[in-house]
Amino acid sequence: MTGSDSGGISFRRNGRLRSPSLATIGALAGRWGIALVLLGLMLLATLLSPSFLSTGNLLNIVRSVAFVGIAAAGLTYVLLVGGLMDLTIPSVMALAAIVCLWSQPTIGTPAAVALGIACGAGVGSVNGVIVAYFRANPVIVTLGMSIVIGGLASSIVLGNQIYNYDKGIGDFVEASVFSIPTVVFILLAFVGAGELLLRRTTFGRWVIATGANAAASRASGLRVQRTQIAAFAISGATAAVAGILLAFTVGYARISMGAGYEFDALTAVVVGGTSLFGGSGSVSRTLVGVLIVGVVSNVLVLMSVQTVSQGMVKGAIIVAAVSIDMRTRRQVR
Amino acid sequence: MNTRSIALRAVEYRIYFVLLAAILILAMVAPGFVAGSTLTSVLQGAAFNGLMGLGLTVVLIAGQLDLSLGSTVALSGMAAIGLQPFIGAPLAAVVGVSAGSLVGILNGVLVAFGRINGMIATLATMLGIRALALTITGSRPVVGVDLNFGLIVDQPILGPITLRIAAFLMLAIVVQYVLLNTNFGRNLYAIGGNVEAARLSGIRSDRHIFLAYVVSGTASGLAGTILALSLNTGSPNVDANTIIIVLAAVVVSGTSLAGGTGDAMRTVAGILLISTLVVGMNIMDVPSYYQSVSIGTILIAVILLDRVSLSYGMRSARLASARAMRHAARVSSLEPKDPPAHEASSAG
Repeated sequence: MTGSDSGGISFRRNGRLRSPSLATIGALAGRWGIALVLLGLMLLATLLSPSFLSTGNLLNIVRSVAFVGIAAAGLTYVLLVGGLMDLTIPSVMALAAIVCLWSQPTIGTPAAVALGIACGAGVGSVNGVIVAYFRANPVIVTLGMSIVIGGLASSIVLGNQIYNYDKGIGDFVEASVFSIPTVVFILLAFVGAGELLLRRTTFGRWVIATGANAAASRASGLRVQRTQIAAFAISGATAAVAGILLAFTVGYARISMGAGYEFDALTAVVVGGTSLFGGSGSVSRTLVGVLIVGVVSNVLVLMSVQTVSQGMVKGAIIVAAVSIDMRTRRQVR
Repeated sequence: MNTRSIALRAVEYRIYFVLLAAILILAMVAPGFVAGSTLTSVLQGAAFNGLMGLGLTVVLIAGQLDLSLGSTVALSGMAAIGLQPFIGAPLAAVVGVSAGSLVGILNGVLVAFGRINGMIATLATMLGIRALALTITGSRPVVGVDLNFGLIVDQPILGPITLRIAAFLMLAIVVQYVLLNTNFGRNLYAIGGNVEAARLSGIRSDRHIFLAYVVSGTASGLAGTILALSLNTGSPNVDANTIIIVLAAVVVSGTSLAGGTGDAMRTVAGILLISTLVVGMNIMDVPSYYQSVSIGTILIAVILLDRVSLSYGMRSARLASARAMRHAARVSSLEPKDPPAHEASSAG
């Protein structure tokens, strides 16, 4: 295990004692700063708009971030393992949703959902194989794959959209338990499972180790390439889940349904503080990142800022998050 | 030159062979492909993507990435058209191009001086600039008041060469010259190849990376201005696939995302390849989704070829260096130092 995220806070590096106060503050900020930012934002939001802290509005926020949150939970693994980025997220969302709704009348909804998720995991595995065995740049590999997959998905529906005919599953996704929407439970289940997989299994440790230092991990006998492939497969599967859930929610699937999700998911992961270069971060941090972006968007809506203008704020959040992250890391080290 | 180095050189400049093969195959299978109108449509299509591709090439050679191209195109186009009623068409076009430079300056400041990862910084500016473009116009396209001014962009100057094609080819020549024959260009390759080595040899990498982004932003500004003038419309919505196609064309041509390789002429060939394929497949009535599948497949195939040839090349380089080390050991009859010095000092 590496870094300040998992182990105790150390004041020693290379045998020299650093100023403990600075290091402590830096390390604590590194570990808990992100949650404090979320709390601070919520406090600010409450002051700015009285309607922010109502149950209905808070539920709105979590419902609106659920889809991107599920995709971001999987993308976290790609970043953790040092895979940099998965640009296939939008096309995998579309492919999985289209395959699911297309096969639904013949094989039934449960099998269709499984088939859609399998498609996503399959695309992710192909990404992973090319990245791991050919050591190709993940950005360009997933870019090429997204063009291919988008074309294939589009050829199934001939460029049109396809509708959901199973009313039951649509109602289930839209339903609420204790007035909390089903998709939020699904999001929490994925984040919980992702966190457990990362922290409590050998595979999770391999992910962190591979991301931190692939060469050292290989030398210590880890199956580095398989770990990388699995990380990309996880990202493909979660993107598929997000796409299928989105299709059930809106009642149809089309090729452009996931447009922009890859960047929203990356924003959430980066704002959450997972390192771009792998080896440090967690799925629960990504959840906090998703919520931060969701809260900011919500506040802007409440303050009646146009939706189209929100990109400027999102851009500023990304820059701020990355700069703060770099500064705290530098202080800790 | 032995066969191995010839093979490696052929892989390095493979884009010219791929382009030639694509033209030959299309000439055989697509009836009506061999025509003057094909050349015009290929070049017209290539010019817009090509201007962006040339800017992106400069950034990639320096080992960075620019995702904000599409948003920059939108902002520049809207400035070039939307400002026409206020300052006149020629000046508005200048402002359009300068808007691109400004985005480049912003990217450059964030990456070179703010030391934020290039992909993340330009992701942020991509989102921000697109939002700015949408906000200014209330998400509506703006229509120009001076229709005649826009017409000159697509007037033939010489044979099939229109002003926009001329702008593309001129920029290609300038970028090629700067990359290969100036200190700035050569330093970019050094930075992209190994930023630490470049720093140790006294190259100020931050200034070079900053300028690379300014070049990229200005080229996108030019592309956006030309596109908007030709349509007489500035649209805040850019086709999300634009950056994907441009990046694919540049990478297929042999410019590595890792930096340090590529040049403007190969980028021109890569852009021409994509444009030729699109025109050829349109002639053959291939549906657009199968066009995407084939272009994506070509991209992935070239990446795989790239990696396979690179590992082949590295193996031969390793063999050569092992031979050299054995030779050196024989000459000096010295054992290699063990353990290395830096490990010994950090162990205690």
